[in-house]
Amino acid sequence: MNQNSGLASAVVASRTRLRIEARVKTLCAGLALVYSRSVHRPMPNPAQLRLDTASTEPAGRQIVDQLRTLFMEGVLKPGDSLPPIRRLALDLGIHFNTVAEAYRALAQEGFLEIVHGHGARLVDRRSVSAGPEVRDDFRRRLRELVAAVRARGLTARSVAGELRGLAESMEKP
Amino acid sequence: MIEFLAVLNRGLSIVAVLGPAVVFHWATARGRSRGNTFFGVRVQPGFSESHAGQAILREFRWRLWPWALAVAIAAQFFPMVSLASAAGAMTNTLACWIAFAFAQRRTRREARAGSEPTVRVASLAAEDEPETMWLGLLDWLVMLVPPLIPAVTLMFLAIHGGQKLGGFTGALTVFPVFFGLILGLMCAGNQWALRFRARSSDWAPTAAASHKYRTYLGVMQGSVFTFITCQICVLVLLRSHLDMRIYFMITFPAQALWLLFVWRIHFWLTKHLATDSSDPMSDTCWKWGCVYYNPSDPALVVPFRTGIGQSFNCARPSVWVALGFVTVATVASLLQTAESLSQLSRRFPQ
Repeated sequence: MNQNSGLASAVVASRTRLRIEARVKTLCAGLALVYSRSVHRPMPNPAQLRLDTASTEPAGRQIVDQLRTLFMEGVLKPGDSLPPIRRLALDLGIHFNTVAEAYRALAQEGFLEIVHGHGARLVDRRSVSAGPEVRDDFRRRLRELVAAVRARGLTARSVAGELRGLAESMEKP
Repeated sequence: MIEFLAVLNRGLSIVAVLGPAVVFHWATARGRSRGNTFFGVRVQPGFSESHAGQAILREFRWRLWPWALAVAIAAQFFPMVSLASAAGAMTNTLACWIAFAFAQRRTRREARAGSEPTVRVASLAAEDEPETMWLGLLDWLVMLVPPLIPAVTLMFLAIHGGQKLGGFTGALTVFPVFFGLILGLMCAGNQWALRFRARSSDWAPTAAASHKYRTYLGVMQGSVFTFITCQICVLVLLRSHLDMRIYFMITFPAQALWLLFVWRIHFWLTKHLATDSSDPMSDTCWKWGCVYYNPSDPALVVPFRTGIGQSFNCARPSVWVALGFVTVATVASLLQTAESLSQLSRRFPQ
């Protein structure tokens, strides 16, 4: 009987010790997290977003286009975090909803993953096979763009040079 | 001794009344405007040094000083020094802003408008502004201490002097502390907006410098309100058994130390005033040169274009609510105090 009660108290003591150890570990992990958040900071992303207020293009569209370009050019990489909606809206001086809509549009395109309360993170986008309509659309928009810049005075040689440079930079690994 | 202290007290009240005029004179001096602005208006480079610019500045100062001096002299004829200096300082602040608005209107009329920035830039760094323990501590101190002092005083009065708080004498005790609580809450809200709802690039070129600048600005403004609140609370708590000679002997060195502290922070803020950065918003967002009104801007607080200080974005509903609360509570507490004073004088005519 005495042996049993001694065993039981030993088990209780061991459980208590384990519980205390677990709590100490949690506390240490919490303190380490607080310390790392306050002292150690990851290198900031040097990329910038520019909003042209004189442009006829809506602010949300400008944000989507620039973020997509930065992602496709490799300036932003999968796993990178984007600034919180509230801070980006404050910095650009536009409504929170405009930035939130831009993030949602990019999430629908598969570039972003929005986690509520943790901001937005860029994800590895699976290769999407483009249908013939994408190519047609691209050709049409490219022709329109070339016509527009030629109408503003850019020579055909300059346009061709720009397109060649762009193609070469895309073919580089 | 007590006569000398009373004279010193009068002298300090003159300083308080003339304070706004000194601040405005200082702020409109050369090199204290952000970007290429003059009285809050974007102008062509060199306008402030031109004849037209100097004429506007002269006219502004001619409007400023005679009025400020007249108010300071008039305040000396009031029997209650603290009330007279507070009312005089508020009157002069309002007069300074009116003179500033006139100068801004003339600048708009006479100066050729400078170009407005059309590009706004935001960093894509995921992290917020760098947080140091010192700045975080200061931020939270300014958010908590100013409202806590009057709140604790009110609790103390409720627990230890519950029976004495009824009637007009009770109102005379409670309402100044209540007024202190409003000042404290205003101060906490100001610091919160500076910390969490201000655009970093408006204040300094880098995020770290901007955070430091905003924190120090909030500390300077918070120290003013905390000092006033502390004086109110001490006077209310120790009113019945307070020797005014001892009170003055403590408060005068305290005021000197506090002025030194404010001067030191002001010096730092002047040194780090980012005069080459201008806010990215249009001139039309500034009403009367002092009130920022921009419904499409989520920032709650933006720096003045001239001198040190900030304006709340009066287009935001949260600012309406806060300003409405402060106005109603201030008017109510002042009316209640005036009513209690009149009852006191009716009951005890001597």
